[in-house]
Amino acid sequence: MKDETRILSLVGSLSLDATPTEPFAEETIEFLTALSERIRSLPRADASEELRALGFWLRRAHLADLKERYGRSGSLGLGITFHIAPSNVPLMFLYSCAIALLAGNSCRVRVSGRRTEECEKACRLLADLLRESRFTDMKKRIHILAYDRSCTDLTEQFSRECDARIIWGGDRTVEEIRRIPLKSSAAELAFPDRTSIAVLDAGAIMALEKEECRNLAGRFYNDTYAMDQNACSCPRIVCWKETDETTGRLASGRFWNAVAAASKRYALSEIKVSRKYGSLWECAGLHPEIQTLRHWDNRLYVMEVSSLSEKTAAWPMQFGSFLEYHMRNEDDWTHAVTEKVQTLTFFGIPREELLKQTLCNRLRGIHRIVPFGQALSMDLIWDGKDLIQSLSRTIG
Amino acid sequence: MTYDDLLAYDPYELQQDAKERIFRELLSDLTDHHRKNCAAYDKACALLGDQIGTERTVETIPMVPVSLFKTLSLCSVPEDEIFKTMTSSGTTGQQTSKIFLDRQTAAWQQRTLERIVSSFIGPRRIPMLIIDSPNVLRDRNLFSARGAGILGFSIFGTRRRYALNERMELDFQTIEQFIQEAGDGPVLIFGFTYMIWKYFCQALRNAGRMLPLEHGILIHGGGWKKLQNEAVSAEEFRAGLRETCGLSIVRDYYGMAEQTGCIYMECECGHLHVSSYSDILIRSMDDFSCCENGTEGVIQVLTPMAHSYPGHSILTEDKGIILGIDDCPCGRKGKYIRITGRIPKAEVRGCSDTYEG
Repeated sequence: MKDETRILSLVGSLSLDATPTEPFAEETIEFLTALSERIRSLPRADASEELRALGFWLRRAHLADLKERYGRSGSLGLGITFHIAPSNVPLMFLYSCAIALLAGNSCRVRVSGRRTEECEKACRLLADLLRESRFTDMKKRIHILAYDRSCTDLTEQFSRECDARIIWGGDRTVEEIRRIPLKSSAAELAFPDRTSIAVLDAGAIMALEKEECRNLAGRFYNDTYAMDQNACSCPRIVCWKETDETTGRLASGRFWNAVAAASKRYALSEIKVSRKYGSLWECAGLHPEIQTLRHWDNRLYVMEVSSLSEKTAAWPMQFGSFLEYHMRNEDDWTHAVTEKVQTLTFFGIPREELLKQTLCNRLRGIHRIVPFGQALSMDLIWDGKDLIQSLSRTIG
Repeated sequence: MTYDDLLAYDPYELQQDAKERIFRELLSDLTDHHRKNCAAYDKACALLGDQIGTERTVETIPMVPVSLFKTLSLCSVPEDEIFKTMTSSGTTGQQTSKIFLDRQTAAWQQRTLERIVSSFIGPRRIPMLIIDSPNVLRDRNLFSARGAGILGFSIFGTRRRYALNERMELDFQTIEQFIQEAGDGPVLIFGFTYMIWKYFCQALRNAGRMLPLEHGILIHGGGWKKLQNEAVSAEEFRAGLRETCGLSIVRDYYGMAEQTGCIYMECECGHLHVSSYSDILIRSMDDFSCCENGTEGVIQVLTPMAHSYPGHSILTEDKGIILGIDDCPCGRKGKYIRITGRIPKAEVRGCSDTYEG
């Protein structure tokens, strides 16, 4: 079959310009800022929280800040980047694309056939923008396409011609695509399955005003429920730092009650309950560490564990299911860390303290330490890699 | 009372309140039995707040999610008493359920099916035409819900003939021989809903053939999902069979491998009936409260039959409605229901499971 009939081009076209630009080139920032403005001018009802978050991330001030932190002179992009975007973080493909553009590259982005409305909407905005005469050059730098997974020859073709391949996906996807060769000079970034944990200070929770506690629960909601607790950086284990058991119990009760209240707006579909109830039984049956279960209807399940091990972080916690652990020592959370653990979300504990524990314990995981509410925000350092540096070359 | 005593009742004679009194005791005792003999089940029940030795109501018996039979090996009898391990089901590539049966439970399953089906087709075995290929039992890859269903129903057939060949084409020679041998007596025609439609009914139409099967009783199961995808309604299905085979008695049934034997047969009014040997509750997935009659929710199936594995109370992934209790115009007592489909597998977010489709 001809390529044209198998490829659905959503934005841009097949032929891409391999000529690099400098990282954070003005025309790129100009273009992304324009996209940000388009998104932010959408009526509120028309833009999901995620789309608005993307618009906010792409605003000029933030891009300038990123340039300040990650830009470097004497560098150029690599050329053409080929992205395999995840199917169910709907806008990840645009973050991936924007980052590679910022690093000075052209982008070919394969999005899943199971596209969401969000994805379609974002693609329309992008395509509209590319029709403006001032962005003629950008037309040759962006190609967003969909094709069936079975067309491995297309993945082969795009892999052969690119200078860097970026794979977002489960372990199986990464393995499958890694078997497809790249040209010898090409770079590869792979972001396989990860899981995440959170630590809180019990005293700090008890010290919160009612309203503050509600806000904190709202931020925790955004870190977890907003992505079905299914993204790599959503915490699954919540560890309590506490001076005494009573404070720990009280703080836990207060926090989870607030989370249960925040989760009232969560769209808890039947399939989600079915899966989370299934996982609950599976974990309960398999893991003697689970001591108690508290549940707020089917919105929130909290299971307390008597110990943490390297296996704990891999247990299937989704759609508002959490493991809870009351720490005896302040760095007990590190017992759950493997190379698969990505983000440490914290509240009430200084970041430096957690960073120090990470370094002193010489952990194989923990790529980010961020406050509550920022688990899902995109950084240019991801899974420990400087994305701009990885997708550009510095002339020595 | 034991399950044997329950089997002594006719499948549709028990009124709901009488049945509930029996079920409350049997299911409560059975919950204790499984808790004492299946560690994983016991652990989960304890976490959910169930207490051993208490009298539970039917509604408070812990519900095992049907997926658990896929992820864990759940057994409540010593290993040397396992007589047969049943695996099911579904589409290729998915994990299969494992159900451990001792002799007692296996015998009860067969007796249960016998009691229910014979109340529809009569106590005598009759010639049986299976709308499938004989391969379905030979090929291990095919042996799934389809094979198990055919084996289960085979006890009702004196002569068993397969209507399709290995290539899933109509085997007219066998069919004609079957019709000739059956003469004017009743015959049982059995198969999976989709197979019957696609490889029997439609194939007959395409071949321009009619079969004189007006003495037949057709029983079909396996669900409507594939036919719904092809926009074929139950009415069209029946009309097709009437037109190609003169069949007027066509009965759907609902059932699952996790409670084999306890099937829900369709009556002459088009309602699926809960027999004396099992019960159904409809749950709201918000908080697992029971839905009122007439309100759609997720189906929970209960039966005191499941002795060797903790499957006496299962939360399925199917949706349905209780249409009424004790008052179906057909005269059968107990609940009657409608199955409305599977829980929709809408998109779920997150990084994993990417690059699909």
